[in-house]
Amino acid sequence: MDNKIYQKLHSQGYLSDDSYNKISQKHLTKLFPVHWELKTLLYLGVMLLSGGLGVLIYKNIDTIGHQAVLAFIALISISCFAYCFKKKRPFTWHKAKSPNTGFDYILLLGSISMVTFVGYLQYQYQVFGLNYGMATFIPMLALFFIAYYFDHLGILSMAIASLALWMGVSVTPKTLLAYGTFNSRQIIFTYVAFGLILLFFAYLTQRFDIKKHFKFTYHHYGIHVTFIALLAGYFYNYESAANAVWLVPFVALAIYIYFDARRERSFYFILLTILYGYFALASLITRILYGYMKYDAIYLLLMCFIASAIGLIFLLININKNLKRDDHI
Amino acid sequence: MIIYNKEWLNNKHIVDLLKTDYTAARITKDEFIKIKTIHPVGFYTPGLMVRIGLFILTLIIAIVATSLLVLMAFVSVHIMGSPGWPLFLGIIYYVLLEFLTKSKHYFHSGVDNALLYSSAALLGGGFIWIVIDSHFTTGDNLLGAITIAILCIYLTLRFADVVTAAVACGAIFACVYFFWALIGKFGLATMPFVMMIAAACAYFGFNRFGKNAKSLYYIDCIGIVKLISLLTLYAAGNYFVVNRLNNMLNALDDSHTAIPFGFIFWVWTIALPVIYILFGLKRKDTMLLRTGMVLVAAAIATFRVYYHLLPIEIMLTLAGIIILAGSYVIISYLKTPRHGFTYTEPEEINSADSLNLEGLAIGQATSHLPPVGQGHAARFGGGSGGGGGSSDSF
Repeated sequence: MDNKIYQKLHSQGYLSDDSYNKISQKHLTKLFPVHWELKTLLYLGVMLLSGGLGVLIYKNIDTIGHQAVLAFIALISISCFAYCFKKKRPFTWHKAKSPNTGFDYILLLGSISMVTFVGYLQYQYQVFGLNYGMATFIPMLALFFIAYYFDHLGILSMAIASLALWMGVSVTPKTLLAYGTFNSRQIIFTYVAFGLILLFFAYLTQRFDIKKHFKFTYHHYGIHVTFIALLAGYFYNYESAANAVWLVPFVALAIYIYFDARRERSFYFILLTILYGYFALASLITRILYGYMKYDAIYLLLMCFIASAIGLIFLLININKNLKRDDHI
Repeated sequence: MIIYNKEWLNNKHIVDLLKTDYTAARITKDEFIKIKTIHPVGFYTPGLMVRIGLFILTLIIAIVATSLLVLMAFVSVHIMGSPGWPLFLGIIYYVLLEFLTKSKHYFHSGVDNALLYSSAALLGGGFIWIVIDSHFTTGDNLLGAITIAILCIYLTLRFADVVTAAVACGAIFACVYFFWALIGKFGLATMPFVMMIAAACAYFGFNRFGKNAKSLYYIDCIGIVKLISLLTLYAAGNYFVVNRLNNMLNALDDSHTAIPFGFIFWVWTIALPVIYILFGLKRKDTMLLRTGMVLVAAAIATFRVYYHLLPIEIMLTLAGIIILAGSYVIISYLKTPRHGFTYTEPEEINSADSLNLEGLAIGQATSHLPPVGQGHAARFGGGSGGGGGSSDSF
């Protein structure tokens, strides 16, 4: 069926002889790629093996002993990193391609076992004592270093998660540990600060051209965390009218992200801004109308939702038209 | 039957086909542009992100508009108490869908998907309501399944949508099941075999139809139907499924693990995934191969429900070692392509890759690592904290 299409295009002169030969060569040899399948198997194998070993050690910890386990984990980590240092391509501030398929997975295994090692050490022997900030700070620095040095996006995500952990621990070290009794407002401010730091990192990444492809990850986490934290702040003290102040930074941030995303032509971020913005707007309209009219507001409210959603659809279609020339994500 | 402009559909197929050749650098840019200009495609299908946005927004509008109409009709309760009400709303959405698709040339743009699913859900719900209201003593399940099947087949033929195709396929299998169950004791006893025959017929029939030039517009729908048929074919003979269904129908508790002709079902449970994989490799069929790989896991899980040969941790470790060693050997064997197989990455540019999904997934998975400090209380929560609740309230 497809061959007929190629033949027709060729006979009409839209395909040159050269291109037509290339295409028919491809259809003659017709290689079947099993890349995805084998990669999944590799990943599955790592998961099964580490899970099985974990349970095995857990069940036999009395006979093995903590030191032996620690030594084993350290051995895995060190040998993984030794391999990566040996095989790595020269360092660059731009995107570096990994030397082979296994490389990324081995680096990942090394990093996970390093974090596990530090965690185990602290849990069993309290090496850092009660200084939890220090215990999370060191692995975080190491993870950021590894992510930049070997250029690994997955480890960058891990580093961002451990940055959150470190900030959460060092803001309220004691209250956080006493399950559930922490001061909510403080947590919200920490979230906002964390999100803004990530957005700032994203800006720096872009501005000084340091591993530019990391920007997406920073931006992705930063936008979600900041928007959700600001909304949480807005809803936290809903009774007081002053909490509407939370929406001011929300709007400012939305405008910044919208223009940044337009410049970058990234539809994912435009969509995020629009949806978060729509949610904030809807809750604000609900509040105002409810405040004035109580339950009579419901018809007007539903019509407002419909009208605003239709408006957003036209907006999306319009933005799409303007950016269409080469929209990627 | 199909609502879309057939010439554009043909052109779209040609352009999509040539696009893969262009990204693999088999044709030049000039050639691709020239071919694209003489094969115009007038459909409105924006990028994935825009489609998701349009889908969500349209769904919100549909839900809010429905509740507005419900509120307005609330005054006269007798309208809402009858199945005519969802049918009426469903028809409104359907008319809107037809109108928008024709006038704006939407082609799976998000807006039309959302309208299609809303109207299908309302119409299907209305018909089921009618069936329930008529209080048949037997065969009401069958009648419900038949109505859903007819509705979804019609919508699939008209809009070539994957989701309605999947529902239609499921509904047809349900029809076969309920029809055969009407026969009584004999019907229930032979149910697995009937379902196997039905699924096999569906797979081979659609496999053949997929090679026909007439099926061009429905390629994705045929793909999903084939996948569901393969899964049904396996489930119909899976020992666990047959055992539990048997217990349920005969009102036995789950301590009964023996079933008549148990041997046949064990062979089926273990051998069918292997057969899928072998045929997938022989025919170079990605769907068969991947389904087989997933079903191997299902077969192992089924086996473990009934027999405990090894403790779980030793089995996991052994399986991990075997899989790792096996895939390493195959990868190094396929470094240079052999027997028509290759380990090099497929040349089609995958849009998921540009989203860094892998990196995000690793971040998601590893954020649950044992936290440093005393237990889980020290975790910061990775963004699902206070805001999660507030966004649910919408």
